Amino acid sequence: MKNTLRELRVRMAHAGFALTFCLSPVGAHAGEIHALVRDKTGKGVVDAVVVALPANRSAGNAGGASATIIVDQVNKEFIPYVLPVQVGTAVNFPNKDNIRHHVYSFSPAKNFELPLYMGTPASPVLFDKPGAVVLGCNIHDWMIAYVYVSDSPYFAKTGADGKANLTELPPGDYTLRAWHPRLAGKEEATERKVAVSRTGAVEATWDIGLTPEFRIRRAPIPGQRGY
Amino acid sequence: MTVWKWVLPFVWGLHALDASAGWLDEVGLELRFDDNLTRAQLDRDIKSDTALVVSAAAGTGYQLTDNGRLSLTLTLSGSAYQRYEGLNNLNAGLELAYRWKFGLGPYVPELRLSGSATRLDYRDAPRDGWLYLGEIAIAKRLSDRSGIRMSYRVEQRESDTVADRLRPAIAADVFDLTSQNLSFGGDYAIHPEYVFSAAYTIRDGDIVSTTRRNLPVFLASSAIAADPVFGSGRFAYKMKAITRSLSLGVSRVVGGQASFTLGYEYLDSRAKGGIDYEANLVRATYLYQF
Repeated sequence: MKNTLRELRVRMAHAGFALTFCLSPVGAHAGEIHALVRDKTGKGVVDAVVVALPANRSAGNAGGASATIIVDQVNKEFIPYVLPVQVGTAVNFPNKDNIRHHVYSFSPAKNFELPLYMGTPASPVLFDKPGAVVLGCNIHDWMIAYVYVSDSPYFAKTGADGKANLTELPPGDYTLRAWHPRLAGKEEATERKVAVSRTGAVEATWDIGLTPEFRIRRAPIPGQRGY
Repeated sequence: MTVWKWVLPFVWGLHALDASAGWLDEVGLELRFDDNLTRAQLDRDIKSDTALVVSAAAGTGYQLTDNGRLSLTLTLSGSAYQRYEGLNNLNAGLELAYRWKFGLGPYVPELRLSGSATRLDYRDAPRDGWLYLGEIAIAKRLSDRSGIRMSYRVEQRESDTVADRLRPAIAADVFDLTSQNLSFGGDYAIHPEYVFSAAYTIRDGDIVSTTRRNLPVFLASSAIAADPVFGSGRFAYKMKAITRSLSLGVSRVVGGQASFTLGYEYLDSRAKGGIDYEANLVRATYLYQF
């Protein structure tokens, strides 16, 4: 059963669906948070991560996640672009391309390097500190992705409509946060307090500012082939 | 033939070294206008034309170490001119390049060494020949938005045949050319989808100017041959010159792996004896990288 759930989560993460984790026992009386993240024009923001930090930390799973999930490398791109995980999660980086990749991160939350490899690395990478981890490939500079490491077991990633549902939350007080790779300002500035009851759902909406998406481009520039 | 004797075993050896080499492919389509195709000084001699250029590049890359990458690329290109069909050409080349990154991440400097040999096949047979290039280049990305690069390149062009001499004492190898090129450039993303690029190049070497009979050009030239591509009574003169060029371009990302670029290049060549010319090139280029 545990393996089946793990597989389900891996598949959902792989497919880039809005993903909700709940590692605490599923109770008959659990609350929900319906989150909506919009940009300043009112358009839904995809790939935002909404986190619910319980005021009573024992409501969360302090032991962290035990599953191994994956970030694929397909057609010289990371998939998914944003992967939210709980502290203590091991992430594997299988290379589905027929060329070698060199995955690395300089982020304070996880500094690591997987030198040139094909296939699946022998050991997954353990994400043991909260924070956003920026992934890169030293061979293909345009490849970029983010692992958001949450110190709460209650989080979800928004879909194309900007919506995400956090389900099966134990009743109580929570601090909500929203994060996005292009969030203008600090994540802490998005914090808000909510109370989750045994029944019904809490609606939470953010209108966040986004910085322009300047990424190292994959598309060629005439006369610069080879860089 | 001698070249292939060592190229083929070399390629075989690379495959044995890294059987997981990946294919690099790029295709392109370009519309190019040149307002002084003859590289001439006088208005009466200046000819302009537009060419459609199709290009493709395919090859293998070998990631030899964490920082070093060797690539072998076959390039094909064809140009079709609207008016001067003698310039229509089909070229096939082979390039060997080695790229070295000085560290980890996108912002470390990169060094690139490359050498290539390209077969040039023109409708105007005297222009047929080989073009050999050797280049050393260094590039550094400064941020997600900007990067700079510098390169030094030597070129040698060798024609298959030499035209008949107009005078016994005057050389006719007008399409045997050598040059050195020093280039500085950079690019800057002015918008997430638009990149502005600029480059300044100084070229020291042979140029070919096609004009009617012209005494000052004759005195400055080292070789002369008839050049009927631009009409009867036209002659190609080979001269040593310093050419400065400035190229500017705005490139738009199309679907992530492709780009559409509008480019402009200004050429200013100065040879001895007060022989100089200017040329302006405008390009519209679509490139797709697989």
